[in-house]
Parts: sequence; C-alpha cells; structure tokens
Amino acid sequence: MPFLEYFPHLFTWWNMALLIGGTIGGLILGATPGLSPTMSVALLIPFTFSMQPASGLILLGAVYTATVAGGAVSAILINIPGAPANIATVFDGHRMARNGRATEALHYCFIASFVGGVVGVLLLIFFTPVLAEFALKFGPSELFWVAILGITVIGSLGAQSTARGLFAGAFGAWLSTIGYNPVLGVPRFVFVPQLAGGINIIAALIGLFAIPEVLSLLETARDPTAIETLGMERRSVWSSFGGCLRRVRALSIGTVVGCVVGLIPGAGGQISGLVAYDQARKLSPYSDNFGKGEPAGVIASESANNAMVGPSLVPLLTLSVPGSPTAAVLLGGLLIQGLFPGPQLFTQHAEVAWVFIDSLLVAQLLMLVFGLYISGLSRVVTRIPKRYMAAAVTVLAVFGTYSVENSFADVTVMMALGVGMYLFQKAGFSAAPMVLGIILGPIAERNFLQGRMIAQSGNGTLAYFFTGSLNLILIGLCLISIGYSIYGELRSLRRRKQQRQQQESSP
Amino acid sequence: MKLTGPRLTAVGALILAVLLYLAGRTATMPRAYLFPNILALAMIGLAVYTLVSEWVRLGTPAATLVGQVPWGTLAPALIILGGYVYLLPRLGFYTTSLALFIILVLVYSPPRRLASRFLLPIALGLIFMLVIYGLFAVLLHVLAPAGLFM
Repeated sequence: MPFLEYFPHLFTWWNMALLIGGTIGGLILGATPGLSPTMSVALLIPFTFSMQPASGLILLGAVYTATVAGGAVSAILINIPGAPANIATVFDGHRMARNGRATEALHYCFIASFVGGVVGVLLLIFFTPVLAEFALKFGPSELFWVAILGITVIGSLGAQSTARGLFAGAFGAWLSTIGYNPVLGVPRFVFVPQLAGGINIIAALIGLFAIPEVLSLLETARDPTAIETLGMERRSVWSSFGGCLRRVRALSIGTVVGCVVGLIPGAGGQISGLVAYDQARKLSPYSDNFGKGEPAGVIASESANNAMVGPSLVPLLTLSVPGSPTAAVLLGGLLIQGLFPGPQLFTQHAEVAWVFIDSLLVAQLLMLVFGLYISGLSRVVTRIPKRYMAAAVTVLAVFGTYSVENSFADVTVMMALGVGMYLFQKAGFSAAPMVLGIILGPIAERNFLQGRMIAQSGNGTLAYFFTGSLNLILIGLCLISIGYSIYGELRSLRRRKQQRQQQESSP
Repeated sequence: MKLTGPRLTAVGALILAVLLYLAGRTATMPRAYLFPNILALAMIGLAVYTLVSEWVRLGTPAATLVGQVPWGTLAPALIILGGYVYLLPRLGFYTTSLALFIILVLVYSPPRRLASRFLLPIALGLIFMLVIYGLFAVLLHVLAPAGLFM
C-alpha cells in the first residue's frame, strides 16, 4: 500500500520538527479568537516557498489540523470560539467549565478531535477515488439544500425557543446579504461606507461572541462578592478516555457527520460541528441536558470538525475542487510548489502526496499529545480576574478582526454587531443561530440564484430543485430535522407543564 | 393586555422585520433583492408567531426570557468602547489598545489602595501589548494603522 510505503520518508528530523512546530503553533493560533484555520494556513504559505514541496505541505497540514482543534480552547475557557468550526463547542464546553469541569471538557475536546481526525484521514487514504465521484454530484441545487439543512438546525441552537432561534438565523442570513449581489453585482443595504464590503464572517463571529461576553464580564466585575472563576479540576487523562468511549454514540455521530460534510465542496467544515451537535442532541436520551454542560455535546462537535479535515482534501487532491475554505488556501500552497492536483498527483508526485497524507495522520497524534498537555496549562486562564479578562478579550477581538483583511471597517462592524448582540441576548436571542445564518446565507443565496439560472434553460425551477435522488434525500433530511425539532420542543413543553403541575399539587 | 418584556421583544422583532422588508421592497432593481426579501418575509412570519404565542401564553413568567440590562454599570464600558473605536486609527492601534486595557481595568477595579490600583494594570497592560505586538506585528506581519503614535 502506497501510504505505508512512503511512511518512513516522513520521519526525518526536519519533517518532524515542522510537524511538532506546526502542531504547537497551530494550537496557539487556533486558540486566538480571529485567527481561523484558513487564515493561519494562508499566513504560513509564504514560509513554505523555500521548502521542499513535501516539507511545506507537512507544515500546512499540521497547522490545519491543530488550529481546528485549538479553536475549542477559547470556546471552552472564555466562551469565544476560535473559529466558526468551534461554535457548537461553546454550548456545552463553556457550561462544563463553569460547572467546574474545564479540564474534562478540554480532554474530551482533544480526544474526540483525535478520533474524528484519524477516521477522516483514513477515509482520505482508502476511499479517495470513490468519494471524489460522490463530491462531484453536488451542484447548485444540492448545495442549496445543504445550506437549508444547516438552517434547519438553527432552531435548536441555544435559543430559548425554536421561533426565536429561526428568527435570529434568518436575521443573520439577511445580514449576510449586505454588500454586492453575488450574481447581478448590485450594491444592497450599504447604508454606511463601512458596509460596502459586506459583513465578514470572522468579524461577525468575533463580535457576536466576544463583545457580549466582555459586557457580561463587566456587569459584575466591580462586585467583589460576585467572584465566579472557572473550575479546573485535576483529572486523569485515562478517565477522560473512558468517558469519551462511554459516549460512543456522540463520537460516532460527530465523526460520520464531519466526514460527510467535509466531502461536500463549498459547504465547508464550518457547519459540520453544528450539524453533528444537533443530531447528537436529537438522538440522545439526555437531550434536555444539552446546553447545560453535557459532555456528549463537546464530543460530537469536536469529533465532527476534525473529521472533516481529511475528507475536505478528497475533492481537492483528486479534482482540484476544495472541500473547505482552508482546503482552498491549501490548493494555493500546492500550486505555488508546482503541484497540480488531480489523479496525476498520485502518479507523478506520489512521494509528495503520500508523505503529506501520512503527515496528517501523525499530526492528529501530536495534536492529541500537545492538546492534552496544554489542557493542564489552561489553569492560568481560569484565574484571571474578570476586568483583566474583559480588557484582554476586547484587544484580542480588535486585532483578530483587523488582521483578517487589514480592514478597519471590519472592526467597526464587529463592535457594532457585538453591542447589538448583547442587547439581543437580553431579549432571549442567541448568537449561534445568527452566526450560522451569516455563514449559510451566502451559500444558500449563491446556489439559489445559480440554480434558478440553470433551471430557466432547462425544465424549470421546480423540476431543478425538487428532482434527483440527492436533492430528494437532502429534502427528506430537512423535513426530518424540522419535524424532530418541533417534536422535541413539544416534548419539552409537556415535560415542563407536568413539572409545574406536580409542583402546584405538592403541599 | 399589558406589554410585558417578552411581548415587547416580539413587537420589536416584528418592527425590525417589517423595516428590513420595506428596505428591500423600496429599492431600485427588485431582482437583486429577491433573497433578502424572502428572508425578511420569513422573519415577519416568525415574529408574528412569537407575538401571538406570547399573547396567548398569559401567566408565563416573563423574567425567564428577558434579562435586565444594568445600564448604570455598563455605561462607562460602552463609552470606553466607543472612544476606543474612534481613537484606534487616530492614535494608533497599539497605543489606544494599551490605554483601553489600563482604563477598563481601572474603572472596573474594586476600591483599594491607590498605588496597587494603578501599578498592576499598567505593568500587565504593557506585557500584554508586547505579546500582542509579537504575535501580530512580528510573527504574522499584520500592519496595524499607526496613527499619531503607534
């Protein structure tokens, strides 16, 4: 097997140094709000110019793997996802930390990331040709339904009611339409010059999560009696391995969802964690515990976002079609090295291709080892007083936002969205559906408009969007997802009503 | 019928949705606004549903859905954040951020001795900004606007 044949080529001092450096650097960059995997890989591409192709790709692959997992550290400890892929980790990860289980949450995060990541890379190794054909079947209509499937999970994401969740999601999608129409090129809703470029996803992510958190910290920062520090318990890694294996259902759901979503070109791994979290919640016997510090929520989300790393490279390496935004940047890294993705990559440059894929497998192991190690060091973060934390998060939010596109307009938009979100949260709305709306809005609109244009030259819009086996499967999944959300809400309402009746009847 | 917190929120959501729809409807070249108008209509539907359900559910404890904004406590923070964004490109990112760090910590510190109240935030602010400079300017080559100072 070629992947075993080229495995020894990976173990040179230089390659191992790059793998270790890339993993540690990636974990730090991933944990910094604003520095997403895409941006981290893009920033490191210039460093790979002078390297051998295999070495450059090893560095980029290690950073890609580690930043996705590293984003969970800030999600768990300071309630700010390091990247869009870690949004779902916030719901239960930060709640676990507040309940005095931060170490456990961080352990689960890295163990689940490792399991999901390894399965994803094995998929890349063994099923690349078959999966490449599957990835090619996604046209505008299928991608539109993928976005709608993502939107159907909105209702259950952290909001206090499905309607409020959907409202926030629709508002997020509406916000994403600010700027130029993707097909006609007409500027829309550009009320102030800062909005001319639209709303950047990273700026929105930081603003919607970081600034409300800053204001919440400051609410009680002056009050010496309102001290609330996150608990970092001492916990053996082995008991966390056991805990993770006991939640094999969440681990499996996360891994499968991550692998499937990672394969879909353009959908991006950004939604894999959210979709996996939603499915794990719906299929869990403890669904009411989700959002209150349920470890299965962290496991599903983190296994999914790392599981998508390998599959997102399948369409890239075989068809030159990137499966995620980071994979698109990696494509640039390949082209700079003079490597053109496609079937010939595995014949003409077999050593480079297989050493790169093998390095992804080793990077997962290094991510686990160093991730578990930094879980212990995270104790420092939990002891920072609220006012210092608020000041540091504000500065990090500003620099993180500015660094994405060197745009001060993004900083202004981030701050305005953040203050608005704080008020929205006080009215019972949640940030997660709005961010998901901002992420999925452009995917849904672009593919809806492209699909309509294709349909007009064919059998019409209805036939284009509502026929074809993949379309029908996706529509079915959307209906099941909506139906289950309604059923879950009704069940929860009935349970609350029964509890209220019991309380009233008891003396 | 009383306009309690959740109902007020639902009314606010409905007004927002209608305004967004009108913004799209009144624009020239309606074809370009098809998708945002569909979204605004969906928002109107959801807001109406929320409003009706809040009105029907009389007796539901409103406090569970709507939190209070402690304006008195947060007013200094909002003024500081507004000033921060205004001064960032004028004084420079690093200078303004250091000032924000120190001022925010000082304003929200519990009362204590003057020396310890000032020295620690200044020292920690300087160290933190050095780390930020190392990460963004040195390692990632991000060119932040320098303004008057840095």
